[in-house]
Amino acid sequence: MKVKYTAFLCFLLFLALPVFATHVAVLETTGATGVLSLEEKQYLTDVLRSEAVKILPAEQNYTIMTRENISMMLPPGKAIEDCEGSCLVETGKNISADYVTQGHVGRFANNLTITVELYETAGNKLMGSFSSKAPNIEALEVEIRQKSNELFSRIIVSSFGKIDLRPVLNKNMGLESDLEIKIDGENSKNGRKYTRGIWETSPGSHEIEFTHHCYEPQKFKINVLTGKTVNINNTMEPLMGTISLTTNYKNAFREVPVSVNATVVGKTPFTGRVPLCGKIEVGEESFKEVVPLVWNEKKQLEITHSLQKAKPTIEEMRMDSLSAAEQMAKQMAAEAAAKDALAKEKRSKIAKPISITLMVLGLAGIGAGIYENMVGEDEREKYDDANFNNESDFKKQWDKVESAKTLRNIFYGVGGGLIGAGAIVFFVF
Amino acid sequence: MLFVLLFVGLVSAAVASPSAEPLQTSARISLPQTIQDSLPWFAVFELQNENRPFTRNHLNELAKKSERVALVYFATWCIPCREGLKQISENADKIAKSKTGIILVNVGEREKDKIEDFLKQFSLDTIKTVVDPYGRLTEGLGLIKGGESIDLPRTIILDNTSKPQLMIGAEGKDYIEILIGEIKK
Repeated sequence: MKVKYTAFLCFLLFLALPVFATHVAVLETTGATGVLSLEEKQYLTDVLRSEAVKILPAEQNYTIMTRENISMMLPPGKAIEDCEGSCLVETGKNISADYVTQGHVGRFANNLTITVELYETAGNKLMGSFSSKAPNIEALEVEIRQKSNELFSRIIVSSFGKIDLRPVLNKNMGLESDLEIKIDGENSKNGRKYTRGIWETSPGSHEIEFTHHCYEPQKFKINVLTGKTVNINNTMEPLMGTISLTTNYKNAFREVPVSVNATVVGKTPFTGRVPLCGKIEVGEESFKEVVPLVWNEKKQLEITHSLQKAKPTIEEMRMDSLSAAEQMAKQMAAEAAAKDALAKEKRSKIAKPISITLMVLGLAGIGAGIYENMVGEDEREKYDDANFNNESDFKKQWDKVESAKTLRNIFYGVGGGLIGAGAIVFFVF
Repeated sequence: MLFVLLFVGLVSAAVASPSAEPLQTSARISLPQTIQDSLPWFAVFELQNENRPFTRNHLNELAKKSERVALVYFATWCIPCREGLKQISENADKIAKSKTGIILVNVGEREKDKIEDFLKQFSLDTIKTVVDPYGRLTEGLGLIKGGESIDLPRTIILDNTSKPQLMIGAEGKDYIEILIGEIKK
């Protein structure tokens, strides 16, 4: 656990950049009279100071103020030992120290005790403290060395600032995921890719870089102060290219509005600067089509876009209405013809058997007429050959001839009529 | 005709604009009670050598070697302060010959790079500069009360015993003459 903690602190120290020095004052250890000698108390102060130097190295711009410097900066007549508790913060301000720490020794039963406090001057607050007891001063020294590490580490942790990264992209242009953020040339921290949001960092100057294939890259320096957050909400400027755009519809030029990100910017033929990742549309409202852009290195494009659809012109509307009427007439005629054909077919389906039946009946009538004619001729031969005994027989025979003749005529008439009717039904329907 | 009149009016306004030129005379500000006789104790650090303290004792030593010392307060964000710094830069030789010591006092800032870059613009980065993050040279001298912000620019001119002589606000054309003692109180 301690190794991990130390590694984390080393990492933080590595990140820290030189800014105006952070001054840490280790004031003289105080104590009740007779507990420890002045030399012993000074020795314990030196132990604390040396631990502070270990944790807060000069390379990282931490300055542990020397005893001489502190004495030099204290108001005349005031000794380091004169101050305790909340007065420490005031002393810190007076000597321009950013952090002040002081130990106080005492005695508890047979043990020596020490309480070490760390104050932040700017915030007027107690950053941390520890208390230890030991049977003798050597053991107390060991305690101090063990516990001061964590105490002074609080200065490093509290020395961090934050960067709130919120570059502003146009919601219509480019994906958020394509935005690359770098801090001091790195695009990640502890394996975590820098993204929009708040990031903790060491105080001092940092270089921020925003890149996105749709926007002008941005690179600038910021200064992070301890405990402060730097808000970055720069608006990203879109990268621009030049297009010469014309539009055809049905192989002829058609003037249509040109929109960039839903804002009409002109009409075709259009030449102008547009965002590389902008949405270029052509066409009237509800006839809009997106023009795909594949940019070259020069960022210049000449595009002839063939419209799939277009709002009709007045001439087209007139032509369209004429042709529509023509079309409709043709359709109606075709429909009527089809209807007729259907009716005819329907009729012929009924008429054919009727006409055939009529003709068959007619033929049967003609046949019957022929038969009656033959009967009549036989009867006439009988009439011509016969020698009638009386008038009654003569008349009877003649009636037979006449009857056959009449029947013949009737059958011929009916048969002919039926055949004619059948022919009419066949041909007419 | 109207255009010509408008143009003439604009040109006149630009020429008469007070921001285009420094004031004729520097603004005098009365010394606060706390520093009328002497400066209270203070201790700050130098910008150029962050571990070197600069206290009232150091100021006294500097004053003894000079005819007078000027504490010139500034901050990188202070636009009016630039006029005074510019005049100091342009008259560096004159100031040196007059044995006037200049101490630049940065008010409340901690960004060393920023302060140094700012001073480099005026070629003043070699002038002794102190940083005062805890208001030892403002609140500590009684120029402001606790929690207040100091109005800049400010210049306190001390004699060779470190006794404050006068305090200046916005610098005018006579600023350098006042600094080098050619214009007295």
